[in-house]
Amino acid sequence: MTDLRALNDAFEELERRADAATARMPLGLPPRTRPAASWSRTRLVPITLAAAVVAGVATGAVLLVPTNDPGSQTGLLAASSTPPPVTTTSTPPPPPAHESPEVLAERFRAVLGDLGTFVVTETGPGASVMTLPAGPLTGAPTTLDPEPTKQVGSSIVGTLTATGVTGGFDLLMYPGRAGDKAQCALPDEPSCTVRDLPDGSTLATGQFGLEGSGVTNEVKLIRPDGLVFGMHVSNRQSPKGSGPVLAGHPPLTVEQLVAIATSDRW
Amino acid sequence: MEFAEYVVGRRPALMRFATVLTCQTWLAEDIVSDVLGRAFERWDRISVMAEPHAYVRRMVVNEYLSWRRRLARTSPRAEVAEDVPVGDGSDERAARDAMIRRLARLPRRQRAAVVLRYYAGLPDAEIAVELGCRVTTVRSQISRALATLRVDLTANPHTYQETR
Repeated sequence: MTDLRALNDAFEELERRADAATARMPLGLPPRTRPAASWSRTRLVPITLAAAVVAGVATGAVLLVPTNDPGSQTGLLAASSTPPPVTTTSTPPPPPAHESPEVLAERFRAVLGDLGTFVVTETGPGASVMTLPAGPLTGAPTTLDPEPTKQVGSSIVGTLTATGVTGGFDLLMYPGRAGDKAQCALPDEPSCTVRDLPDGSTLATGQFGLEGSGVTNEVKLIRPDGLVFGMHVSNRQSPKGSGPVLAGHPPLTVEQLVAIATSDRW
Repeated sequence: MEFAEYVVGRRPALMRFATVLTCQTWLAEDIVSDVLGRAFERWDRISVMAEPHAYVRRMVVNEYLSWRRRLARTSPRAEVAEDVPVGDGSDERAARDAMIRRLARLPRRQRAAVVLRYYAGLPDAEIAVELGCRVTTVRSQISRALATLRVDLTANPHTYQETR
């Protein structure tokens, strides 16, 4: 055993390495006039980050949402307060798939049908929303921190078996911002494709090679109202590409993921 | 504060924080660049906060914990684990490098909790907010992490505050 001095020494050594790296980095400041995203790399554009860890679940997303952003409010309203359709029966409309992990799993089972079976090992929200303080955009500082993080949507993680092949998967759905576009987790990968669908949704797909013989297939669909659907399957036990290799390839192809994401049974 | 002013003044501290968090300078560079890119797009709002740096640092933590960063393919470039702690024969250096390797092998959330408490000097309640979990979870994560790091708090108990 040692004491905290060893940890402090480790921090100081890492600081020294950081300073050396910083000295090598070009400053690369953006121009004073701010064309949209002029500073950022291609993959920095979306407000929706490509999924961050939320409490207890190794999948999800983080949104940075200005509270007075009309686009954001419209998106959330569109997803949450649309009046129910007029009906002559007393049957209530089914809850949205992202209402809870249980509903999401149930709906996924219906969408998957005979294609495969799955076991859920983790559940949680679909996204954490960090909200910036409301304007004004100028003047004195407002608050010390942004508003508390809010969690929205649902996610499930587990293993999935299709045609005798088993691998890890994760699946998330949450109401995001209307107008956001889907992107691959690794947009620079040659396998990444992004396209618009006739209904106004955007669809991103990709296949990522992992260490060893690991492969992860990904699909991301963002509907016009901002509803986000994301899914990954891997031939490793974890959809993040870690854990033991369970098969030679993921249990579902990218094309099958697209069929699942665009199913009208959600 | 203008964004350029923030970058000039705070990027070194962000790089230090990100490097301590990731134990890898290449990953720290990548994360800091990405986060500054997103901060730039929202600087009008971030800059009016009382503690813009605290917010940007939180963005760094979130980016580090994001699943894109967790892809296994991003892990083999670890520069820390490859270090061999016998360069100068110093016991102190060997202990330090061994500690860095143990730190690098911690699960991400445990490492984030340890860094936020012992490097950034945040109280557990703020760490819980940053990591989106309960205070009891923070404490159990830190407890497990310290056991893995083989740190005995009773040996020399003190904490660290970020000064830059």
